[in-house]
Amino acid sequence: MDRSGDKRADTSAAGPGGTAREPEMVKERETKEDGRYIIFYSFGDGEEQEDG
Amino acid sequence: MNQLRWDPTLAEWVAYATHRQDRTFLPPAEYCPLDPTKPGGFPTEVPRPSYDIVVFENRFPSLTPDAPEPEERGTRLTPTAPGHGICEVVLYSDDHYATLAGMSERRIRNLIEVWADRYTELGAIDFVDYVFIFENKGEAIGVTLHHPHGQIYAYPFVPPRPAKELGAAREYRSRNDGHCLHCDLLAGELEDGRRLVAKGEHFAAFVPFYAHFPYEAHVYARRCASSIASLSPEERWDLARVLKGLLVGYDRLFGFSLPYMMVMHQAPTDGGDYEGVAHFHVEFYPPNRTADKLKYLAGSETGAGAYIVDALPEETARSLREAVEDAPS
Repeated sequence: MDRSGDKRADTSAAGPGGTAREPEMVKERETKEDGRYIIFYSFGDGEEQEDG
Repeated sequence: MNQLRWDPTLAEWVAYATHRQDRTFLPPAEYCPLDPTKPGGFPTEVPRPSYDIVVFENRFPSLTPDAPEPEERGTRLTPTAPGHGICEVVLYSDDHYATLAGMSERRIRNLIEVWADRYTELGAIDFVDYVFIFENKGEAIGVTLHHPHGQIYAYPFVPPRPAKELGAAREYRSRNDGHCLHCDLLAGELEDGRRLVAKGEHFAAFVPFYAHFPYEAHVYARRCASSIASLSPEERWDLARVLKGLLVGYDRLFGFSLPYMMVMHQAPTDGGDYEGVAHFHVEFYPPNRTADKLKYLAGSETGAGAYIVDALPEETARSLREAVEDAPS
């Protein structure tokens, strides 16, 4: 539980390339009746999302 | 009640969460609390009739953001601490009967996006030192809900196993001209080839030379990426492909949906420097040693910390690789 140093999640330096299409992520955050949060993630890729 | 107690003999925290005794245990499918709430149906955890991927705070958390100071104060030798942390449930699909192995690469790719988002958001919270993403699958592992889901524990400390691994990697780096332990291990596996299970452009899956479970497999980033959030779009797609291949292979191995524990190891979020030390990877520990026999963590494993394994990694890797390669594309 050392609290020293910068508080920063590592999100640095994506790798080489960058041509693949990023999913278009939509994030909706709501609060449940008991105060807990719930986050709905959707990607808008319709039938492509179907599993097989 | 969430509290931490320090075990000075192993130098590690133990979390207590007594309310978890009351959590939902293997309900019938029609009363699954992780299904969407259907019109006129009973209210589940998800107040919508359908969903894509959902994350919510666990109703029965092992750690909570607002844990109070424990009434039990402990001693100088055995201190206590509030059970600060966050426990999330990640619902992979609104299909109760789906499994990660049966999902499309695109859905797995989307799930990777969610995992990366949770790593970033939770890791930025001051009291969170480690974001641990995992899945327990199958009754053999002790799951209490069959709906396809994983969990995330945001710990207020770096948990023992990742800490030990990071310590080993840091020591290796200091003694080997700054080399990353995991990069060198992966290079060795790629060169040897006998334990490789699946190989992509950016990720590779293999049964490690020192596997602790017969069909244990590790999925390593081929670049020294320290976290899931630092992966490029191409790397995320390739991770989805390699995960999909491995999971399908697991299910083909014995002809049934294989139970497993899946865990992710990556950089802590405690503000420390993990450059060249933390190397993002996913570890799978299936409990099966054969189709109908399980590997139990018994006296030697639990009491001595010394694993005894009934099969050599080269043999299990060959079976698993054949199951991966024989899968219809």
